[in-house]
Amino acid sequence: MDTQKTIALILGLVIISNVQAQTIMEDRTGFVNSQGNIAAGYLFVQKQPAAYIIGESEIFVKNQIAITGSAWFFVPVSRKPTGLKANHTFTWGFNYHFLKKGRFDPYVGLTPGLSIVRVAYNTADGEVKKAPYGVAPLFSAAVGFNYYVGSIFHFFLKAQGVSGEFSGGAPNRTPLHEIKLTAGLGWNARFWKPGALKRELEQHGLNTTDYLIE
Amino acid sequence: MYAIRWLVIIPMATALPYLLQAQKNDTTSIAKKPVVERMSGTFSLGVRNDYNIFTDAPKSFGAGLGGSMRIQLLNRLNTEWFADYVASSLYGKAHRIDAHIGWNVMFYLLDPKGFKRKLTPFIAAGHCFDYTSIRINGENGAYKRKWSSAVQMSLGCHYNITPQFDVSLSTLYDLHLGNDIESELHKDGTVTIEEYKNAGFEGHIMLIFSAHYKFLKLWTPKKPSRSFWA
Repeated sequence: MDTQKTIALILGLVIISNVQAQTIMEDRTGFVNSQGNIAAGYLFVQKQPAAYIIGESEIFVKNQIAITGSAWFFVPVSRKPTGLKANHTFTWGFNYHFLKKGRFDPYVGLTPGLSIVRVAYNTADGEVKKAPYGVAPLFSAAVGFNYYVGSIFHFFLKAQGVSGEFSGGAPNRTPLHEIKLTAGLGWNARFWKPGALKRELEQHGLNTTDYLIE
Repeated sequence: MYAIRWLVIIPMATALPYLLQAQKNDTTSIAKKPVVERMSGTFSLGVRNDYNIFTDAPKSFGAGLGGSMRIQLLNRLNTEWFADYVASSLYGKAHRIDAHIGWNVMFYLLDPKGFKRKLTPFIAAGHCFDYTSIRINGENGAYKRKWSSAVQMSLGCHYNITPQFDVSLSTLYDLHLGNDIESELHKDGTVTIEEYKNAGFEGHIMLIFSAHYKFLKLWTPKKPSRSFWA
């Protein structure tokens, strides 16, 4: 029984040391970042603030390259009866992280997306009417940084610029040029070990350059 | 006359073996330069933002989004398969939706050297199917739509941030053939949608900004090939 405990302890130590050896500060490949937060926005043309509940995720396919996606749920804060009543945004794309390793991790992203939009407008009779929901494509880019404070936590700050226009049930078009800011606490978890496929190929005596792009 | 004929035949007969020899040497020189199509089979996936520079209405700038995948056939030959959705405002009183699905063959003007070269210019051509609709803004606004097919040519450049990851900028001219619908602004400020029954040409220019990541190889490049592009 003691022998079994010793083996289990050694195995446990090996696993822990292995995980420790590959923190997100050293190699991001295989890590997934996620964060749920609130965000503030400012619509440039309407000159009005906006608020969102945001969820986003980032999958590191390489140390410096991540696939990312985010959902922004619009929370109406304007008291005007007309204007934007819904502007739920979905974006997806790639983030490029400038530094190969370290706690400080600045990045830029190209993340096109779309907004599900609803606007309210005044009819000729002065009545306020809500137009049906519609879709508006968006140009979107992001800039921000993460600061890793442990194996599973990071702080982040991100600014997302979006540009687009919605035309639909309302008589006038609605510009959607906006900057969104979010900051807070995020989570990290490793989903795969970097180089696993390469090692697998090497074990089978296969030429890795035939299968992998390096 | 007889002597003149021989004056022509003899030099030609003498030159012929040299010409044949020259061809043989050229073939040998190409054969000596086998090229391993290492990038063949590379599969990449990406996102894109499209900008419609113009449509049938002036200042009808539009923005769109889409996605594309690339399957590379040779070191200097790539294929791109795309779909996008573009919304443009017409006179501020109507809007137009263009959706494209199609493909391009891309030829790299310079050897990408496994995309280790930072800038990789390319020309591309292909065709697509497209859906267009125009709707007058407002409640119960008039609406018309059409389907057509198009050919396109583009000129662009990859910026390879790493060999696996690139951002690209390209300019594309799309020439549509099919029934046409157009918005028309009248003197009283109203906009109507005109439909033309007969097939006609219609074109638009798009700017495409995209990012692609090379995920995997779909097949293993085999023996070195004699490449014309060596």
